Amino acid sequence: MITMCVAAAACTNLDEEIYSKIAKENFFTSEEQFARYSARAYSSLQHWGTEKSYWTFDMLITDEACTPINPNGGWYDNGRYAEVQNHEIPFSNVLLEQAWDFCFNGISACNDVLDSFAEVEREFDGKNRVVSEVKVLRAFYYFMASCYWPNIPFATTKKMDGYPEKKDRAFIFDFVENEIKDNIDHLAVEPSSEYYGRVTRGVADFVLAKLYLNAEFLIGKAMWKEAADACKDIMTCNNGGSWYKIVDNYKDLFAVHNEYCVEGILAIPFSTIYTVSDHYAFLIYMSTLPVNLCKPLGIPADAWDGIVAQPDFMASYESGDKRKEWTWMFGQMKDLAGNNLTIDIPDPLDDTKSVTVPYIIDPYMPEEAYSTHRTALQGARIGKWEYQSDGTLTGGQVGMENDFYIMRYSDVVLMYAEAMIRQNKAAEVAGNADLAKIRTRAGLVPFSAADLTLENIYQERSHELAVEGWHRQDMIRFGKYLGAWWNKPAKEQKDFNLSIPKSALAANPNLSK
Amino acid sequence: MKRLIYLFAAVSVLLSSIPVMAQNRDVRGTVTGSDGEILSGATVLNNATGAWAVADNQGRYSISAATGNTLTFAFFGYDDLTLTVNAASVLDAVLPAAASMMLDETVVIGYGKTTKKEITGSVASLKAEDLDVGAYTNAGGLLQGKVAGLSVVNPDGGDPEASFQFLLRGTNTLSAGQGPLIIIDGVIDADIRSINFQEVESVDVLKDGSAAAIYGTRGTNGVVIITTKRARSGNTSIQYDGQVSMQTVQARAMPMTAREFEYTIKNFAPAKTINLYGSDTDWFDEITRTPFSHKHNLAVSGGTEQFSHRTVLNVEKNQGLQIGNEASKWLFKTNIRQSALQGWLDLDYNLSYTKRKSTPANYSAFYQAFIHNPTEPVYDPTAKDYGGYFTVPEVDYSNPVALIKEHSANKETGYLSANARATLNILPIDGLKWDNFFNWSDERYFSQDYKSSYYPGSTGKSGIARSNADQYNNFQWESTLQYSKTFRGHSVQGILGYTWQEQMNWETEMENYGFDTDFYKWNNISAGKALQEGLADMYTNRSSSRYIAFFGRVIYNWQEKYLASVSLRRDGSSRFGKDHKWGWFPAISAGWRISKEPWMQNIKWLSELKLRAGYGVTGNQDFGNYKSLQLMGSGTNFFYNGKWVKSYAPASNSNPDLGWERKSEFNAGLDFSVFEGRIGGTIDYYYRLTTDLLYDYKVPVPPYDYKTLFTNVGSISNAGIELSVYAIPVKTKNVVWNTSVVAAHNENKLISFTNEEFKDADYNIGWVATPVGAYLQRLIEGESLGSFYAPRWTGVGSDGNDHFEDEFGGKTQEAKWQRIGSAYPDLTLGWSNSVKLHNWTFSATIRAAIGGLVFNGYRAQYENLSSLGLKNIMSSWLDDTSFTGPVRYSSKYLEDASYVKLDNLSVTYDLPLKNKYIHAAKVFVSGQNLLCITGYKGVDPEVSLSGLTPGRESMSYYPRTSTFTLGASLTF
Repeated sequence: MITMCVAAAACTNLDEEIYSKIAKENFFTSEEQFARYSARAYSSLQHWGTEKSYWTFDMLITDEACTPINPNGGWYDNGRYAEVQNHEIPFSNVLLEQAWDFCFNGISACNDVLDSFAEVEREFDGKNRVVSEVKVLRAFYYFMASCYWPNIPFATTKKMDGYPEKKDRAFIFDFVENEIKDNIDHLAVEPSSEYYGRVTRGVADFVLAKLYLNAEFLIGKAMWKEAADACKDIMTCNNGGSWYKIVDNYKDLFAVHNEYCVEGILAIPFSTIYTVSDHYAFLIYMSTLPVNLCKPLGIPADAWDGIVAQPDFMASYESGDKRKEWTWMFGQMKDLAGNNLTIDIPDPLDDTKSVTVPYIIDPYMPEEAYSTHRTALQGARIGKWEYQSDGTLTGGQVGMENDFYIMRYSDVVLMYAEAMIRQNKAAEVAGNADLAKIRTRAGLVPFSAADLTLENIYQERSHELAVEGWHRQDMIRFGKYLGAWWNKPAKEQKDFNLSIPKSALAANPNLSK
Repeated sequence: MKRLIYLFAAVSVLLSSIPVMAQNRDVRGTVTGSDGEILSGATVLNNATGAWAVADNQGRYSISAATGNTLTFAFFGYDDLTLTVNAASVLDAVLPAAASMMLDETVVIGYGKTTKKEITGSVASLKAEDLDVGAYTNAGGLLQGKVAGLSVVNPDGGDPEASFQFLLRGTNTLSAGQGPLIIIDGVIDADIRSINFQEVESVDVLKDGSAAAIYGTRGTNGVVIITTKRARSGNTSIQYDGQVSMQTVQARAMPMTAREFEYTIKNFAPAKTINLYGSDTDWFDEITRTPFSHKHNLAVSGGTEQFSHRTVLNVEKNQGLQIGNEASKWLFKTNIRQSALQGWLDLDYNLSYTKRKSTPANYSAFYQAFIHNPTEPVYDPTAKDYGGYFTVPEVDYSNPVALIKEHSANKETGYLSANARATLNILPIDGLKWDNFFNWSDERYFSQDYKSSYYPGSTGKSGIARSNADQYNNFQWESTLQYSKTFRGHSVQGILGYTWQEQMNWETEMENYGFDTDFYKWNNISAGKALQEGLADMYTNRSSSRYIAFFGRVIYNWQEKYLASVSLRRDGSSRFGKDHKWGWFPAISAGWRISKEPWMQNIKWLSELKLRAGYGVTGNQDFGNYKSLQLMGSGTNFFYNGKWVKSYAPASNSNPDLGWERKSEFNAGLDFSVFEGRIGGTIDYYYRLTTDLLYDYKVPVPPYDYKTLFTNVGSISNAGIELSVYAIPVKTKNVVWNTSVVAAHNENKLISFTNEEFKDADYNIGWVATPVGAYLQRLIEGESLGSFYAPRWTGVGSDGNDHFEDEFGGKTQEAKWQRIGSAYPDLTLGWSNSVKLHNWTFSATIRAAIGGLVFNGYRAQYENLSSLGLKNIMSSWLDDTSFTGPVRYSSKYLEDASYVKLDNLSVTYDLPLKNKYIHAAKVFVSGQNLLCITGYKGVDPEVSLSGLTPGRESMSYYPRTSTFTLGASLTF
């Protein structure tokens, strides 16, 4: 019987039966499944809005925001935040790693999608456009990585022998530039609702504008004209006008329901139902609010009480700039009905007792507060994105519904102005209506021709685009990055570049060569 | 209990005898030992009729028997003796002293049996009388401290559902399973909870590679073979075992009392006065009680040579220390043995069903009780939003009483196991048989829980209901052809076999929230609003795996002097890559009984001396399914053309080259016994080398989709010495003292972790979250697993901060952290004693570990002022109030894990009640886990040593308890 069994295939069959996943070769059976596979490349953008991400790394490494030890002793975490604050970032720092992962997980997802498209020989309407979208998205990720790290691994496919080689900024610069130029004509020009959250011609031009604008520090070559041209392409994309507009109300960009805003060029759509994990959600209130502010705002959550504004950044706003209070929460805290809130704190006169005082947040705090701890009444909270106070958050949801406009039109206008000023063509932008509107909607007077200085543009960018994830490039371009600021000593040129994270170095021996 | 075992042994002797029908009469006589002892209490069994008798205090017996019947005499410490009744009415029995008894003891090896003297591998064999009496959550606990080199840890303290973690001869793998293969009555990979510990007849642990290789793939971590009491022929015997027990807390982490808390805040942290609420609450007391348990076991057995059975009913109810936590179990099991076709066919059926039902403990309530502010009251009638519980709404801070009272949970498991063994004795060829074994088991697991609208931390959810239903099926078929023969001094045992096993798993889970009332709990789950809002969770999953093997073995000896065993197994598992599914697992071992040599015969004090050596290869496939395949899973969602669509992505980095992790082991041992068996023991040396270690290695992204790849790279070695010694220092008519010591030392070494492709030899593991925020251990080539790395603490400075070696700016760079030590102990010891004094038996078991470090998580996180305020801290902070700085992970929190434990103390009294109806009656009292002597400042230094980050005490920890049990056993 045993011998019979040996002969019978069933007795030696060890194939695995699959039930709850699907083998890749069985997946691509319909065009829709095929086209939808590109969704994986896009959803990799959702990491942007999480607590440890490229976005929060950018605000913490610059002079915008910080995470002092909170009143309950939290957020020290063996110094990982302090390392970023002080620009003493060891290669094992987890925030550094997460910023890297945002870029390279994105690149890898794009490679996988493009490989799969090449593998499965199936044609469908708009295939070239989808391929071009993913290629430009991958170029964006490479650009973002290149801004932080001078030498990075380069791969455009998963199917390679060995591991990716390290490439310098000049190589990456050429790749990003060529990839965008080769694909830009396949992309949708009109940002219709169909292309919401996807790569359009406007997105490609935006990345190109950023690339040229930062060319000086990336490859040591100023390319202001090319930067201005790329901006101009966006500003004239609709028969000389633009599909994009500076909206009247700044707050509309950050509202809970802010989808299809005409100022947005690329949105990362978020949802409290569809993007819910810690790794894919927009985790803004969890990161910044204390528990005792969640409840009055109608948010049923045990938030983490972490990120607050840096005092000097708060001091840099010119008076009358409404964006200060549209971006940050400070002063008297109120509940939804507008009633002033109170808070219990230790009695300053008799510290064995507590007293109830008005809940007034002071945006300023001494430098020592960073390493000892800040009090419950110190440090402005991020209030830029409207909190979802309408009762639709029902507990346990860490994210919010607000979409994140990672690229928007006012950035383009400010980039254009900067590129023109740097070419000594300030006069050509003096009368720009969009630039004027950016100022007026913030409650400020438009720049006169004489006001169009690089320092003013820097300040304008800082306040217009505060905590949106682009500030480090600006600080570098305007020569601020190596200087000293609140709890950050001045640094030398040799400290300028970040190290490749330990985990990436460890996995790929080519990177340490 | 012991007598039954002898009876069983006797029954096996009898299998060849033929009952003769004749006139029964009374046969009388005296039972003495070869040393002249009068053996009061010896059992006498008439093998023909099943009738039995017990020798009185003069050693006299009387039993009904006919001429030609055989009587088997048994007494502890002596060999069994079988005599044939002749015409005389007096039959005296002189039982040989026990030396040879030990040697002839049956040892269960994989697919067969042998004797202690014939064994060539390293096998530890325990009989029921070697095990401690007491109350156990499952049979795993019986092995604690009994087998050299086998560490048995209960990481869950007094949880009535606590399981035991086994670790044999060190950690031999990085990511595959580490528990030994459990075989119960032939069922491979059986659930140890499916039997009652009182039914254990013997436990055999196959330790070395040559012994375990017959189980190929699954033998790497050793094999524990449990044999339960089986059906026997004879008069119907009814045995009842009952026990009641209670527990008291033996150790727990001590937070500050309300007075200490207030004192500390006022004197050392006045800014935190706001946290004083004026009450005095002992949160631990609020959530605990004195738990009582009772267990009952009823066994009925008997029958004829052609048909016998043993049926067991076991009912127990166990309370946990935590209020509301309890577990109950009932178990029904029957074993039927049948003989048919004039001896051609033996049949053996087992059917068992175990039902376990519990209200599980909420572990985090113990943690919350520890950190909870003792000046807070439990209740606050004005806190309507919080259901009347006093609540401070903060992250990870919940009222412990609310955690328990606002949470309902139910867990039920039904385990059905049915198997049949059919053995065809091919009578024309003496010693040849063909054995087929079929087993089917079906485990169904239901678990439900409901967090009411006032459950802490579920703010806004209005009641969360969850319901799981899982099913695990296992089908096994084994077919073996066995031959055994002894001729002219040659003894041969051969086996050829085939195994086919399939495991199927189904899992379902649903969760919903937003209920209008707390009434339904999980019984009307669709009533929650979250489902309509798209926020409910649903999950189903199904998976299967298959495992096939061909194997063969020959065991040979010449005159029981020169012994050898060779085996080979061809193993296949569906879990590996397409071209790597099959592996070869050979083993060879040999033994030489030096004491049997003629030139040894004049050394009278030496009863036995045997040298053994063996080498064997085993594998490991204890990891998840589908790791070699490129599968697509649905992952994130994307907003595509106005609606959210699912995205699909590779489920993981697939590894089509996934192959066997292989362990080769060399074992050499010496077995000895001297002074007529009064002292004896075993010494083993082993070297185990695991190669092609499976681990999640870091790979670059891109080109990979994810950062790790499950693949075969490194190697680990474990080398050690094990010693087991027993002695009978006192043996007189009325007093017998048995003592045994087991000791083991193991050296673990991560030899390599890298190869051409994976060059990174630096992995940090064991993350401890804020405020510690550090990795405790590192995987480093050339060092032991479980190596703790930390800044070396130099003391508390005048600034109130901790200071370290190589400190810069209050901090030591990770590159300058030092290796502080390893989590593994240098030496583990177990010492068991039993003293028989007339009808009394006293026993004590002591266990110890010397060396090793443990990370004290309580002190690291809660022995500092920065954690004080909202939360309570350790009372021990007051021992050194100079430390006022923040938490910095360092060697300060890595403590010596050495301990000595008094595991068991018990007294058993054999009631002199024996008569026509009652064959045996005894009562016992026992205390378990009574005392722990250690310098460790946490709860218990004996923490889990399994896994990759051994040696850390968990914060959500069920306290250790001492158990006191009163039990009785009656045999009718």
